[in-house]
Amino acid sequence: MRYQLRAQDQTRPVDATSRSDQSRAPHNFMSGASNRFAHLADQEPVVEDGIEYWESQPASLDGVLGVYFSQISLRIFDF
Amino acid sequence: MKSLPRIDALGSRQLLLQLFPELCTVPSPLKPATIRERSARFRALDVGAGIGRVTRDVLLHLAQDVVLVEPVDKYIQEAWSRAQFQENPVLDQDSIDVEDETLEEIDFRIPWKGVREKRTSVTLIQSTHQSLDPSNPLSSTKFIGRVGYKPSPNELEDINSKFDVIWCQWSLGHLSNPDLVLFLIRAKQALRDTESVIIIKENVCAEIGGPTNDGIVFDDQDSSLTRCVGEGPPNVVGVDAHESSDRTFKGLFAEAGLSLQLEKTQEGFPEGLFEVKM
Repeated sequence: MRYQLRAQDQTRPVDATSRSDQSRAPHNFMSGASNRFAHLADQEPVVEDGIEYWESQPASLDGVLGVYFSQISLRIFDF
Repeated sequence: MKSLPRIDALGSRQLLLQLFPELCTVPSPLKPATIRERSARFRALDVGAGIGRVTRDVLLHLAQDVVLVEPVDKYIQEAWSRAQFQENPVLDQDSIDVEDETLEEIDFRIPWKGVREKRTSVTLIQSTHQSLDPSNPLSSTKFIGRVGYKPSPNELEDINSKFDVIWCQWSLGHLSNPDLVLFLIRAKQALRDTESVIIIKENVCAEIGGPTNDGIVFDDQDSSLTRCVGEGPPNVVGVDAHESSDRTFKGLFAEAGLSLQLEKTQEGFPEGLFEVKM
């Protein structure tokens, strides 16, 4: 939840490099290859499942934000 | 700091300064000519705080006391390690090889503004949103520790004080709609006054009737929801008006008795991300 990608047309969920899942190569960001995101209104979060997921992620910036989010360098933005 | 977290943090701080221009510490067009006097220390609650990124990069730049709440054990323990390091930075300067340092090692040492000087404080608590009562944060939760400023003689005598800001970012997707409404009701009761705010910064998906149609997306990997903002009373053929609005952010805010003061999009994120709204 803390980091997710969406398909640009929002009709096809994308297989993001969610959180720290480094096994997914960056070139697959927009592949639309996964059905991980389900457009189902009747699904509800299970607290224990969420905690279990996050316990499996690194306790680091990469872990909480995802490698893509935390490491991408956007030089087009001038701060 | 890396680019996207920096953009995120700056967007958040700009929003806070827009809502509380008196907190601006430098000359700025945002700063009002007459400053509202504050009789109490500015307090913020950071829920679903992870390892303390928002506390460090956003809240401590403007707030004096932050209560950091996180349910995941490894994250709250990491946040506690980082917080303790601020008070007692055990550094062997000779052992630090700047060239070999990883970004994570650098990130660990980034100062938490005012903590070491005891001008600010961070109180760390382990709890889910569902168990947390922001009016009484230590009830049914696990106290981890406090760093920085501490009231004397009881370092937790201010723990039940009201909050000026309750910050919820990238965590409310783990709450069901009923749980979210109940949490927002409890959060509202913990606000200091009519100027106080609950800030929600979350991914949002397409609206009801949009391409995904449902106005909600479930992620079965981490068991979380991405909701749509909602745009007033829905007028969608085949979708019951009440059923559809009560799962949008605006519908849930209304159900919790909250009014929306300000709505902004986090700019500067790349294409392909869910839109992030505050």
